Amino acid sequence: MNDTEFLANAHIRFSPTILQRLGEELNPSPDVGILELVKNAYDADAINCTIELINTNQSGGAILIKDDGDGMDVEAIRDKWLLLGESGKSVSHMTKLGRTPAGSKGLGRLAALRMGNEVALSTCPKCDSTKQYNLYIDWSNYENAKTVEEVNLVIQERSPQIEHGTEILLQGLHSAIGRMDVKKLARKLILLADPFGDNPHGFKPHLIAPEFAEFESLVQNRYFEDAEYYLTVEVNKQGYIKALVTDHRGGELFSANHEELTKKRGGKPYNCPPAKFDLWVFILKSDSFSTRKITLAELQRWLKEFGGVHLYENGLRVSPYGDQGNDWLEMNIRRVQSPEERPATNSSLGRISVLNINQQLLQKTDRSGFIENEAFLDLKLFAQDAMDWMAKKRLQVAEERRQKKRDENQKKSSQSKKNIEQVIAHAPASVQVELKQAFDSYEHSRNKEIEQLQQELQLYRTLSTAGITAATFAHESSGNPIKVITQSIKAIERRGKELLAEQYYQVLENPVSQIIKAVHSLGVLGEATLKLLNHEKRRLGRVEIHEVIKGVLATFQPFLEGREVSVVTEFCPSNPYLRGSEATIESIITNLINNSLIALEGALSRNIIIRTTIENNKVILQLLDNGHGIQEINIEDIWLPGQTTRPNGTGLGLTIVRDTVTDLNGEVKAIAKSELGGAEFIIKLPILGS
Amino acid sequence: MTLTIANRLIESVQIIDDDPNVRESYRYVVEDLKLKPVSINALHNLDQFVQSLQMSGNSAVICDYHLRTKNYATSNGAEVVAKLYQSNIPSILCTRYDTTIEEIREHRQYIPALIRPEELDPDNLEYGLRQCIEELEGNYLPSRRSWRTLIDVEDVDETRQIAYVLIPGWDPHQVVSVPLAILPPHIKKQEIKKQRWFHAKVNIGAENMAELYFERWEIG
Repeated sequence: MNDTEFLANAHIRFSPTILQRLGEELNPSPDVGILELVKNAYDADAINCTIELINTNQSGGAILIKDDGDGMDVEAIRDKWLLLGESGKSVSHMTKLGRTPAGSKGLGRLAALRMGNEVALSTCPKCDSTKQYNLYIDWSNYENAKTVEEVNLVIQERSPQIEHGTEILLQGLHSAIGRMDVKKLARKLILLADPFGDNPHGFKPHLIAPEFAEFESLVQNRYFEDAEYYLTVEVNKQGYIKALVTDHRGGELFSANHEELTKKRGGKPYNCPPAKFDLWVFILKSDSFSTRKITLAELQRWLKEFGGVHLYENGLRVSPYGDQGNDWLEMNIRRVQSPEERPATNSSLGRISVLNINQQLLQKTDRSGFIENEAFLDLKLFAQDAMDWMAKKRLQVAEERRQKKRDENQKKSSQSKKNIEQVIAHAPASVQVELKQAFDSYEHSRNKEIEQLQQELQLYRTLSTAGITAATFAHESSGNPIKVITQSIKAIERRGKELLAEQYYQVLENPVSQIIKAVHSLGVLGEATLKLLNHEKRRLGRVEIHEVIKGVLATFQPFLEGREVSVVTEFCPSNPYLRGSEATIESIITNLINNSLIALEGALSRNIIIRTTIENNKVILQLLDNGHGIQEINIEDIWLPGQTTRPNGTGLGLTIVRDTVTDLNGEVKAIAKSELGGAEFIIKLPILGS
Repeated sequence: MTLTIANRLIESVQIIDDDPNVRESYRYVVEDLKLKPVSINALHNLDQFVQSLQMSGNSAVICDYHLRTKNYATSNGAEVVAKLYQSNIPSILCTRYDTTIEEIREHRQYIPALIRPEELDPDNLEYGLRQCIEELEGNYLPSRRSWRTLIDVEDVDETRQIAYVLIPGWDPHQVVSVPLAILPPHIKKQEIKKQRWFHAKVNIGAENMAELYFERWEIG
């Protein structure tokens, strides 16, 4: 007997709420949805695509998207346009205009179509422009339906009222499109199809809005010839790269092959799709703009809107790479690390054009960029490695230039001196003596100034040498003698207690404990120096401000105790952190504490307060002491190098604080007399979180 | 005098340090533990040294990390202690490890006892030897026992050949530096990349970062 019996066929079915899940909930903002429809126009080989916003400053408005592409026939509407989840486009087949289809799965389209209550589609196929097809979707019909398939959609044929192409009208928008959204949309549309290239079949999306016209005229400015230099790097199918840097006239400055560019990674090829990286770098110094057609402000505005490196996949831009505030190649942070000769997002414009035929790069379903797989990370790395190479090359050139300049200046200076001496010699005898005296006096003060600068330079070099020496000889200079003293004195302590019993405490305990304390303090200096030099601390990453302060205080503890200085920390309850290196924060705190310790010399009681608070995504760090405050020096001058009120002071500590805070995009100010009576330093630093 | 730990008799402690004055000062600690100090004046052949200790028996070792500034030894202290431990000889590494954490991490699995020089005294020496001997007998402290856990690569410094990883099972916020040299041959260095996941056996009971060691890596 058969124990199974056929009852009925069954299918997985979808409730209409799935449309909401895949539509609205996967659509982060109106511009993303609209952009998906514009990409459909690109895939249909349209040259023009117009987006009109009708009464969208309030809900209930409409959007009309009109293109002059290939249009659709009944089959295309039914089997492609209305089919969700499967792309009808194959990226391996180019369109007639040679475009690689954007290859969307239709989810972005659904998200856009669901922005309103109704959708009206009119399309006229290019292959048969005698026909026009209309389709109307009323989303309210789905509300009462049990499954998506239950709602019947009708494709109607009528005599053509439009030329070939497609028109989509989204009506009854659920929400208004604000001014900022329009601006965002305009910017994205302008950048969508590489406005910086010279493609004759270029796709021209057009938004009917004043914001768009503004961006359009801005983008058309094309200030590329004002770039100081231009980097172009190509990675081929096999993952090998080559790079070239040219100057503003197109003359070659440097070039490199794969071997030179990838020394750091042992010549390993990049596992990413073939790509080309172009980067135009501008030097934003007002003096170099006096002879140009454009002003520095114009260029800065252009770079503010379009600066950064944009990423184009098969000809279409992928957001958010290169959006304002999106520094995906970490250009700004690398510039902070080593400021000389490195471009930032506000001083350069670039694009990476990737030919992603084999779909090595995969876009996230919510269109928020690429999945960060190996191909994407290698694509990023190839661009970063090329920029590192260019920075190194430019640094070499800058160093050579500096040396040449030094030699030239020396020659010029002695020639000028000779000239003046000759002029004086030919002057009437009556003024000759006076002139000579005036010139000698000028030369004397100038030499004094040079001497002062040379001393400052020497000071920097001496301090660096002191650091290098401390690191090199830390092991034998401080480590070993301290080990020997520590072990010997501890042996005396142990053996003394055992041999002398009570007598030890009377005779030896005090001197022994004095030595132990002193050795500990000695050791701290070596340890503190080594800790400051630790390579690990210069690594970029998450830096927790409170932890760094605690670490510095722990290192300084013996010195603070020795000077009888009490440090009170008043930390905010949360844990502020930023992206940077521990060394940067440490150098701020260390220099401020050093500064306070000097100010507290001679004070009756010696107190420091370190306070943190959070305000508008910034940590405010205050360091106050009860020393003599800022006196005998103008408060603005304390930040200048070499300014010190102490005979042996370097005058560099506060300069380092100011420069470090500036590098972290922060602000620093000083108050001559604080609530504690001494100086107060207030530092505001942008944080990632707390 | 002798010391007996887990049925193992210790009579002498060999002192390895490239500075004769340091070797001399370490003798006091060993003597105060009532053991015989033996200063090693040079260590050019580690295998031979290991063999001689295995033959004489009843020896333990205390060793500094920096041994190569002069012509004292061909290996660093971490390599020496690891080799001795694997040869069943109780050994202690005595160093300030702040700046050599990655180099030591490469061998940390075989270094159960690490003492800072200023903390070296007879009690800590005995404790370190006890910890090492117990481990050689198979009795691991919870902080030294390794468990299979997830490793998230945060960053890679190719110049220094170091990966920076997060070990959520130990501390989800602290970045740990791992020398790429630690990786087994089946995982190529190129596979260690930012935002990749791996599995490894790690002593996630460790109290601080310097104690962490890694073994049996797997691609996640």
